[in-house]
Amino acid sequence: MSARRIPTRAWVGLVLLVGLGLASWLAGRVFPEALARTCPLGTDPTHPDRTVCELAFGGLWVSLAIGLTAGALSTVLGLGVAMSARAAGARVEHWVLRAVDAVFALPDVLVVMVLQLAGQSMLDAGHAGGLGPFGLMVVSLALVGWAGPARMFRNRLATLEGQEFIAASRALGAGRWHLLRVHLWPSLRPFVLAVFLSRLPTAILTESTVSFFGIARMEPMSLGRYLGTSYAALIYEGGARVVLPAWGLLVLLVLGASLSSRALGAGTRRA
Amino acid sequence: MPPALLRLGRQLVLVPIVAIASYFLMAALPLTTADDAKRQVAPEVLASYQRDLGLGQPLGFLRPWEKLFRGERLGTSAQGITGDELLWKLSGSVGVGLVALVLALGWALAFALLRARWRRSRLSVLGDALPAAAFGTPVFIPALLLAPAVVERGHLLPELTAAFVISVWPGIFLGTLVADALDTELARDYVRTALGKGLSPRSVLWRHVLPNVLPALLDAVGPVATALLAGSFAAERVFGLPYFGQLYVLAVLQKQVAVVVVATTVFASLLVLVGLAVEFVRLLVDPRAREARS
Amino acid sequence: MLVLVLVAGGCGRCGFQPDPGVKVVVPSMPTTLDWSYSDPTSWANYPVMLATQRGLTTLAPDHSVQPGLAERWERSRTATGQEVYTFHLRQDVRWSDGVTPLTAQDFVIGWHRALQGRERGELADLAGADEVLDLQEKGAPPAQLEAALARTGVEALDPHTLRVTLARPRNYFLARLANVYLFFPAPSAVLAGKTEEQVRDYFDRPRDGHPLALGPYRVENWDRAGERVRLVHNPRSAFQPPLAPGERPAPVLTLMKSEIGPALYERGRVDFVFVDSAVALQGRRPDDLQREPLLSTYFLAINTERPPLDRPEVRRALSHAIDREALMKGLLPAARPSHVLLPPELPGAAPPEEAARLPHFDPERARADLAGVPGLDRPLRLVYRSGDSFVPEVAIAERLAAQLAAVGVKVTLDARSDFSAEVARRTAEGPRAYDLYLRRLGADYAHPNTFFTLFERNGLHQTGWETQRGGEPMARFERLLDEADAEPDEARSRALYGQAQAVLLDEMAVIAPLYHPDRYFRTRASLRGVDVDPFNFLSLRELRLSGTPTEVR
Repeated sequence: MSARRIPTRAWVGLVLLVGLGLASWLAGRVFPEALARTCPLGTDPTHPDRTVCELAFGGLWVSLAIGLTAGALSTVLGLGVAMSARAAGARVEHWVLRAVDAVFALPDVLVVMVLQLAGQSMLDAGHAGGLGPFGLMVVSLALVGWAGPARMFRNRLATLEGQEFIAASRALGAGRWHLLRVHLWPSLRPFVLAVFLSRLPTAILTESTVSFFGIARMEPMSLGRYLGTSYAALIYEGGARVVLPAWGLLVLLVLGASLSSRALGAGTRRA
Repeated sequence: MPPALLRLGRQLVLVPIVAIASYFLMAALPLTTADDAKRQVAPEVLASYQRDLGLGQPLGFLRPWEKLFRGERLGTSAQGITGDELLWKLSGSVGVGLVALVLALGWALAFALLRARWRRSRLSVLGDALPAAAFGTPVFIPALLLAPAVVERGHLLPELTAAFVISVWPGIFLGTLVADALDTELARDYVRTALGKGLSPRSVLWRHVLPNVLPALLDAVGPVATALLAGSFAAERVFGLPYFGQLYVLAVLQKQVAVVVVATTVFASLLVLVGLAVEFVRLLVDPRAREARS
Repeated sequence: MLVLVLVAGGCGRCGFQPDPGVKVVVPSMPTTLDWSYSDPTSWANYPVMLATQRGLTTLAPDHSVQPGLAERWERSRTATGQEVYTFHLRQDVRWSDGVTPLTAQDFVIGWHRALQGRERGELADLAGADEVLDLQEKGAPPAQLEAALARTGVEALDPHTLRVTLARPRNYFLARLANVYLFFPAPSAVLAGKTEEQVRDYFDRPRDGHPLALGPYRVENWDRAGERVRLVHNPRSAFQPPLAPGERPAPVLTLMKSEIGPALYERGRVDFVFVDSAVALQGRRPDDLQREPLLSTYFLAINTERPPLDRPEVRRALSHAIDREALMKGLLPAARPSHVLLPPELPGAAPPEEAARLPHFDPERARADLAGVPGLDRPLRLVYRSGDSFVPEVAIAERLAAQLAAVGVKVTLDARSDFSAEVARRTAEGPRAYDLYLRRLGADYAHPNTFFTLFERNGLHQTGWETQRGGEPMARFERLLDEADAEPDEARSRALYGQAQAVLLDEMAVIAPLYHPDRYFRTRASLRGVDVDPFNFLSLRELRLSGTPTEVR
C-alpha cells in the first residue's frame, strides 16, 4: 500500500489520532507534574488534589490503550471468524452468520454490563486468569465487538471472491487457503485497518456508558470513566470546565478515528 | 410460504437462547445481601433469596417464568415486578423507542440530503465532523443538558425529549449509510437519463433515487433499533422515566437474576419483532425481495 | 412523523405524568414498606416509616425521651434481673381508616413478626428472643416457633396496657423505641387471618387506603421501578403537624429519586433536595442551603487478620499517621475532623481529656512505630464505596493514600459499587480480602450504644478483630458494653462506654475515626417543619405548608 493511495482525509485523521496519543502520552505519562502545574482549568471537585487536565489527558492515555487493545482484539477475532467461516463452506458459514447476528442484535452496553459484573466477581474470587480490571474491560469489549467486524469481513470476502481474477485463479486449481493468502489478504488489508479504526471509538464510548451506570472499575481512571462519573457536574455552575475538556477530547478522538477509517474504507472500495 | 416460516423460526430461536444464556450468566454471579446493616443477615434469609431464584434446582431457569405467569412478584420486594407492571413499563419504552425511530429516520434522510448538497461545497467537512460529534457524545450528556428543562413537566415532554436525545446518533449513523447509497445511486445511468429527459432534479430524487435507497435504509433499521434501546437505558435514568430501561439497569445493578432474565428475554423478543417488521416492509417496498420469495 | 408526535402529544394521560403535591428528592427509595419484617437496607426506609408510623416513645430535639403512643410507663426489675416496662397506651389513637383503634395486641403481632423478619437481631434484648432466633437458625418446626414466640417478653395485659420484659436492663431501650421502626405496632385487626405471603403483599402493594398508618401521612402509592412513593395526609392521625395560623398539612407528598435534583429545585419543580455533590457545595452557596451536623462518624477500618495489619502497633501507627485536619481541608463548607468514635454532641460522649488520650495525628510516632515492620512493602488495598455520597469519599481516599505514603505505607484504591459484598468477601486462605475500608456509621438513636453495635461479635464490622488474641479483647469489650448498657447511673455508664471506645480505638486500634459528617439540603420557605435530623433521617412528620393553596401549586 503506497502513500499515494491513501486519501488526504485519512492522513488528517491519522495525524489527529497520533497527535492525541502523543499528547496524552507526554502529558499523562512523561510530564504529569508539568501538566498539573500549568492547567488553566483548575482542580476537579471530586478529586480536589488533581487537576482537570491531568485527569482528562491521563484518562485519554488509558482509554487509548483500552480502545487500541480491544479494537485490535475484536478485529482479529472478527477476521478469524469470517475467514474460517468462508473457508469452511456454505453450511457452516450460514450457522456462523446466525450466531454473529445473535451477538450483534443485543446492545453492546447491555452485554458489557453483564460481562463486567460476571468478570468482576471472577476477579474477586481469583479466577480471572491473571486479568486485572484493565484486561477484564478489554476482554469484555472484545467479546461484544467481534460480531460487527466479522459480518463486514465476511461480506467483503464474499464480494472479493466474486471477482474475475479469483475465479480465474480458482480455475487454475488454487486452494482456498492459497486464495486467501495470496489474492484476498492484500486487498483486504486496508479494509482491516479501517474496521479496526472504527472499533476504537466504539470501545471507548461503550466503556464510558458502562462507567456512567457505575459498573466499570478502571484504575487509573480512563477518559470514559472520568466522563461517565463526572458528567453530573454539567448541571452546576462552573461544571462545564470539568466536563467539556473530556468531552472535547472524546469527540476529537472519534473524529480522527472515523475520518481515517472512512477514508481508508472508501479507498478500498474504489480500488 | 415455507421459506418465510423458516426465516421466522430462525429469528425466534434467538429468544430461548437469550433466556437460558442470561439465566446462567446471572446465576453465576455471587449474591449480595449484606448492606448498610449493623448486624449480620441470618443464613436463612440468604437461603430464601436462593429459593426465590430457583438456584441449584433442576430446571431452575424456569422458575422466574413460572412466577411471572402466576402473577407473583419477581425478585425481592423493592425491585420486584409483576407481569402487568412489566408490560406497562415495556409499553412506555417501546413508545419512546418508536418516536425515536421515526425521528431517527427523519434525521437520516435530512442528513443524507444535506450531505449530498454539501459534497461539492466547502461545507463537505461537516459531513465528517457532524457524525463524529454525534458519535463522540455519550447519550447522557445531551440528556443531562436538556433534563432540567423538561423533567417533572408532564405532557410527555420528558418522553419526547428522551426520544430526541437517543435518536440523534443512530439517525446520523443511518444518514451516513443512506448518503453512501445515495452517492452510488446518483452516479448511475438512469439518473443521467432521467435528468437528460428534462425531469427536475427534485422529482428525480424523490421519485426514482430514494426508492432505490430504501433497502439500504431497511438493512440498518435492526442495528438502529438496538442502538435506540441501548440509548434509552441512559436517557431514562437521567430523565427519571420509570420505564423498561430503568428497570433493566436497576435489576442488573442489584443482581435481580429473575428480573434480568425475563427482561433480557423480552428485550430479545422485541428485537426479533423489529426484524420481522423490517422483513415485512421490505416485501412491500422492494421488488427484488418479492421476486426472491416467489 | 409529525402526525405521530401530535398524536403522542395529544394523548394527555397516557404518558408519565408529574406527581402532584409537594415533591421531595430523596437519595434512595425505600426497599420495603413492611416495617415489622423490614429489610437489611433499612436506613432508606426511615423517611417513609417515620412519617407514617409512630413508636411508643418519641425523641425531643434535645434527645430526651418523650411519650409517643404510650402516654406513660413504669419501669421495674424482677428478682431474676429482668427489666420490665409497663406501657399505658393513649386511648384516642386510631389507625388511618378512622375506625380501628390502636391496641396493645398491635405491638404483640408487630414484634412477633419482627422477631421473624430480616432484622430480627435488633430485637435481641427482649426476654425469650434468643430462643426464637436460635430456633429459626436451626429451622425448627412452625409449632415450636409459635410456642417460643408466645413466651417472649411482649404481652398485652389489656387493650391499652403493654408489658415488655427485657432479658437484662438496657438503659437505651426507651430511646430505641422512638426511632427503630421494628418496634412500631402493626394493625393486628387487619392482618388477622392472612398468610405470611398475603401480609407482605398487604404492606408492599399499597392500595385502597392500606396499609393503615398512625402518623400524619400514609402511603398511597409506591412505584418501585419508577422510584416514587406518594404519601397523602392522614386526617385521622392523632399526631397532626403543629399548625400555626395560615398553615395546613400537605395533602400530597411525593418522594422521588432524581439524577438532577438540585437543577429541578433551581427551577422550582421540587421542594426539597439534598445537596451532596462536591461541585454544588464548592460553588456559590444558595441562601436557603442548610447544614445539619449528624450524629455520625466516618472511619477507616483495618483488617486485623492480614499481616502486617494483624499487629495492633501497626494499626495504631496508621491512626497516628492520619492528619484529619488536612484530610478534610477545603472539601466541604464546614467539617468536623475527629479521631474519636462518639461525636461530642452525643449525650454520654467521652470528655475532651479522655479523647486526647486516644490515637491522633502524630507523624513522628507513626514513622517510629512503622520502622522495620516486616511485610509493609506490600501495597495495602483500600476499599471504598463508589457512586454518589454526601461524604466526599473519593477525595478522602486519595488524600489518605497520599498521607499514608508519607510514612512509607503504600495504598492502592479500589472503589466498589458492591462495597458491602467486597468487604465481607474472604480469600481462600480464610481472612477477608481487603486491607482497609472506609465507611460511615450513623446513630439510630441518641445513645452511645448505637455506635458500638457494629463492632460487636455479631456486628457487620468485617474486621475480624473478634479473632485477635484468642478473642479476649472482644470479650472484654462486650462485657464493658453490657455493663454500660445496664448501668442506671449516667456518669458511670459514660465511663464504661469510654473504656470500650479505648479498647476499640487505642488498645486494639481496629478503626481510625476521620470526621463527623454533616448533611446539606435546600428546602422552600413555604415548606415548614421539614428537617433532616441528626440521625440523617429526613423527617416529614411535622411537615406543613404555609401560604394559600395557589401559591404552593
